[in-house]
Amino acid sequence: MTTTAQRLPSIRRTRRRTSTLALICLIALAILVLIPIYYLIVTTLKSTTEAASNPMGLPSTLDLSVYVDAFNRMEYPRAFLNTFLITLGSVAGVVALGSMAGYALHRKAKSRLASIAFLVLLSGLMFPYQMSILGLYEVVKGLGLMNSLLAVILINIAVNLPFATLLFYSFTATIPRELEEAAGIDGAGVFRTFLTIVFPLLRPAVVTVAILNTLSAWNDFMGPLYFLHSRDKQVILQEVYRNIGQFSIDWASLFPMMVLGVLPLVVFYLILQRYVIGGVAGSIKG
Amino acid sequence: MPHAPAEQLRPPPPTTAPSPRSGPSLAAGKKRRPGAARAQVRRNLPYVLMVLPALIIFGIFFIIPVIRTALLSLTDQSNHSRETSFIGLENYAEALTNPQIVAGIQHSLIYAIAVVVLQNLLALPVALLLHSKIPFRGAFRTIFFGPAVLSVLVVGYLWSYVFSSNDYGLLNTVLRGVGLANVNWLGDPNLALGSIIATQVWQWFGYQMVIYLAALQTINPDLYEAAALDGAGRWKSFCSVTLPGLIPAFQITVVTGLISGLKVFDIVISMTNGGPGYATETVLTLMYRKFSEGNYGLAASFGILFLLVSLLIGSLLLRVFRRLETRFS
Amino acid sequence: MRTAAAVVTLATASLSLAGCASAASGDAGSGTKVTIASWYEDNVIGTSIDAANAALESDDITLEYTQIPLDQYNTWLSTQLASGEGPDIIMDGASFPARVAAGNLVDISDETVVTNFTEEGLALATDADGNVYGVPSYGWFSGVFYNKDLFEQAGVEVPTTFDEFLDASDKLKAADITPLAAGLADSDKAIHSLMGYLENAYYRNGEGSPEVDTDFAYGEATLDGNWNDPLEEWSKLIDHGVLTPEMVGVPLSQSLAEFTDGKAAMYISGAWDYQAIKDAGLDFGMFSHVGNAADNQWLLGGPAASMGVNVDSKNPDAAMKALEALASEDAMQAIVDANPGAFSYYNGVEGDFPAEYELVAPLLAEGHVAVGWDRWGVNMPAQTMLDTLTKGLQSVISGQQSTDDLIKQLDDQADSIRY
Repeated sequence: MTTTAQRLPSIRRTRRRTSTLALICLIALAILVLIPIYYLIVTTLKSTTEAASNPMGLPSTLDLSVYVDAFNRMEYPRAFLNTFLITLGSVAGVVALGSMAGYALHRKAKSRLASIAFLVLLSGLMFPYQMSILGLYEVVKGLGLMNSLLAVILINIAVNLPFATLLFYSFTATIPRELEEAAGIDGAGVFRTFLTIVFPLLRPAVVTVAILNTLSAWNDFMGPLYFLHSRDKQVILQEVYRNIGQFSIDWASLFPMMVLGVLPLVVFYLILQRYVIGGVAGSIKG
Repeated sequence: MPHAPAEQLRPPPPTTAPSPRSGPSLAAGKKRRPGAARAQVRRNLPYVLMVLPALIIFGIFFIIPVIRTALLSLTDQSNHSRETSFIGLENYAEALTNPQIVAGIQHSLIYAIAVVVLQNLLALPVALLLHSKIPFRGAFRTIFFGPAVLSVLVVGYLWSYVFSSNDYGLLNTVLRGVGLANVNWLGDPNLALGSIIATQVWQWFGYQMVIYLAALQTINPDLYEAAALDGAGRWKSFCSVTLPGLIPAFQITVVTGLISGLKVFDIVISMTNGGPGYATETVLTLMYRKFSEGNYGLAASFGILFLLVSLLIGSLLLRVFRRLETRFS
Repeated sequence: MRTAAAVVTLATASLSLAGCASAASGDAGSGTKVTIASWYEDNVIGTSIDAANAALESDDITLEYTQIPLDQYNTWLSTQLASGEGPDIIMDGASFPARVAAGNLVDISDETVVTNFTEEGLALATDADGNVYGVPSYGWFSGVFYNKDLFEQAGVEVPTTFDEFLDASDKLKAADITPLAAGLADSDKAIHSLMGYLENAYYRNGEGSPEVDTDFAYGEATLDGNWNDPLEEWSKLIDHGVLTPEMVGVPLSQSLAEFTDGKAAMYISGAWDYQAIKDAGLDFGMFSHVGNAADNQWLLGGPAASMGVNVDSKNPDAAMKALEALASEDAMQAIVDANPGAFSYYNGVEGDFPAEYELVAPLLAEGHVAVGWDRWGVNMPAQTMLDTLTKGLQSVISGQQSTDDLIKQLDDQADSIRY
C-alpha cells in the first residue's frame, strides 16, 4: 500500500535517508522480541548443565524425546480437547449473545431501560471477576455445574460479554437503518432481520470478538483452576502449572511443557495471523 | 441522533399537534395510553428478548457474585470459624488504613502508568515505521505481535528464568559475557517491579502497535495531499494530520491499558508472588492474599473498594467511547 | 445468515458437548466415588492411593485423587469449604487446625482408625478438648543436605553447632564454593534455616522453651522480647554471605540445580528432594539444623498433611471407609516407601532410611523432630504466619528491614488472626 505521503517528492527523500536506520532499529527490536522465545525453544533440547553453561547456543544433540515425555505427562490430547471445547463454547456464546445484545441496545439506545442495561453490562469491564470468586463458587454449585466444562464456558461468556457487547453496539452504529427498514417492509420480524441482514454486516466485529475471546479463553487459568477439579476435565495450562509447581523437577524439563502449553495458539496465530491481527485491529472500531 | 426507524415509519398518531402537557390535554393523553403502550411493548419485545440472554448470563455469573461479595464485605466471615457476624464497615476501615494496601495501590498505579507509557513509546514509532514503505513489514508485524498470543502464566515463568540471578539466568549470563556484573533483577526490591513491567511491555507493545496501525490506515490520504498543498512540511503534516488521526487509537490504548494495568495479577503471581517482601504486591495480589489467608470479609471489602475506584475510571472510559462513537458516525 | 446459523449451531453443539462430558463422568463407575485432593505429586502419594483403592474394591468405592499446585492449594480448598463443597477427604498441612476450628471436619475420636497412630502424629488434628479430626499421612523432616566431595575439597567437617556452620561456610567461600544454594523467590528455605536454628539454639537449648510458642499462640506472649537475640544471631548468615539478596531472585528449581550440579555445597531440604539429588549422582549426606549444643540436636519436622472426613461430604460413610483404607498399614507403608527418608506415625510402620541419612537417623529415633509453627497452629492459622514469615525474611535478606521489624510484623499479624 502506498500512501499519498510517499508520493510527495520532498517526503520521499527524507524517507530514504532514514529508512536504513529505521530498518536497523526494527531488526534489533525484532531480535530482542525473539530472544526469549528462542531461549525457550533451545533450552527444551538441552540438559540442565548444557543450558547453564551455554544458554544461547544451539543444542549439541537433537533429542525430541523430552517432548514425548512432556506430551504423555500432560495427557496432552485430553487436555487439548478440554481447552478446545471451552474455547469453542465461550467464543460461540459470546458472539451469539453479544451481537444480539449490542445490536438491540443500540437500536433502542433512546430507551432509559436500555441505557441502564448497557451501563450494567459495561460495569463488567472494570471488575476482575476473580475477586468475587466465593460468590461465583456458590452460584456454580447451586446450579449443579461444579466440575463441568459448561461452568467455565458460562463464566467466560459472562466475563467477556461486556466488551463484546460494547463492540457490537458501536459497530451497529455503522449499519444504516434503511436496510432493516426495507426488510421490515417486506414483513420480516426483528429477529429475522437481525439474522439475515444485520449479522452478516457485523462480520468484522464478529472476527474481532472471536479472536480476542479465543486468546482469552484459551489462556484462562483461574476459571479451570477453581471449577474443574478432576483431572479428566482439566485444561492445558493446568497441566503446565501442575508440573511447574513440583518441587523436585529438573528445571530444564519444564521448558518442553511450557512450549507445548503455548504451541496450539502459536500455530493458530501463524496460520491465521491475518485474521488475528485484523481482529485485534478491529477493536479500535469499538 | 435520529429517531428510531420504527417510530418514523409508524403512522402519526391521530392526535392534535403536541401541546404542553397540562390541563385538559392530560386527560385526553391518558385515554389513549393503554393501546399505545401495548403497541410499544409489542414493538420492543423482540429487542428485549435479544438482550435478555446476555443479561441473564451476566446477571447470574457476574452480578450475583458481586452482590454476594458486597454482603460478605460487611461480615467477618473467615476460613477458621463457622460463625459469621455482621461488622458493618470495619473491614473497610482496616482496608483503608493497612500500609500494605497503600503500598499495593501505589504499585498498581506505577505499574499501570509505566506499562502504558512504555508500551506507547515503543508501539507508536514502530507503527509509524511499519506504516511507511519499509521492507519486511509483514514479518515485523508478525514478530512484534507474536508474544501477545502467549499465556501470561507461561510468559511469567519463562522470564523468571531469564531474570534469575544465579548462574542459570539468561540475562545475567549475557551481562557476564560482555564483562558486566550480575544484576539481581527479581530479588532487588527496587528493580523487581521494573523487571515485571519490562516483560509486559515486551509481551503487549505489539498488540498496541496493531491498534495504531489500524488507526493509521483509517486516515484519509487526501488529508496529506491537502496539507502538502497548504505548504506543510513532513513534521507539520504529521502534527496536523497523523496525530489527530491517531487520537482514537491513543485513547483506546491508554484507557484499556490503565484499566487492565490496575487489574494486574497473573504476571506478578508467576514472577515474584508479590516479593521480595511486599515490593511487588498489587491491589489484586493483596486481595488474593487476604482471601488465601482466609479473611474473606476483608478480601471482599478490597474487592468492593477496587470496584468503586474502577467504576470512577470506567465512567471516564464510557465517555471516551461515546466520543469515539460520535467521531466515527 | 449462514455465519449466524453456524455460530448458533456451534454454540449449542459445544454447550451440549460440554454438558455431555460432565454428565458422562458423573455416571462413570457404578459404585461410590470418594474424592481426595492435595498438593502431593503422584510419585509421593500415588502408591498409597492405589493401595487404598485395592482395599476399597470390595465395598465398590473408588477413591479419586486430584493434585492442586501447592501455592494455589490453600485458596482452592478454602473456597470450596466456605461454600459447603470440597473433596470428601480433606488433606491439609499447617492449616489443618484451621479446618478443625472452622468445623470442616468430622470428629473421628471414637473411630478405631485413630488408635493406630502415636500422639505426636495426631497433635495437629486434635483440638483443645482432645477431640481428634484426622490422621497424619506421614512424617516429614528437614535438615541440611551436603556434598561430601565439596566439603572434602574445602577441608570442611560436618558442622555440629551454628559457629561451626559459619566457619564451614567461610572456608567453602574461601575455596570458591557457594556454601548454600537457596531459591528464595518462591520457597520457604529461609524459614527452614531460621526455624531450624531457633529450634536448636532457642527452644531446646537456649533461653526459650516450646511453651513460648503455645503462649504466643494464645496471645499470652509476644515474639518481641523473646526472639530478638536469637534472630540477631541467626542473621549472621546474611552478614557472612551465606544467605544473599541474590537468592531472593532465584526460583526454587534453579537453586536445587545449583546443588545437584555440584556448584553449591549445601541445600536445606527433606525427603521430597532426595530422589532428585540421588539421580544427579552426588556423593551426599544430611546433617541436622544446628544451634549451640552439639549433643542435643533437633530436626525440623512433624506430621505432613493430615487427612480427615469433610463434614459436608455427600457420602460420609463411604468417605469414612476410604479414610480407613488410606490409614491402613498397607497404604501407610506405601507412602513412606515412596518417599525414602519419610517416617510414619502409624505404629509399626517403619520408613526406609538410606545411608545418606546416617547422621540424622539417631535424632529421628530419639524423637528429636519438632517445628514451631505446629505449636502456633493450636490457636491461629499457621499458614498465614508462614506466608508473613516468608515475605518478612525476603525483606530482611534483601536489606529492606531489620530482624526486629520482622518480629513486630509477626506479632501484628498474629494479633489479627488468633481464633
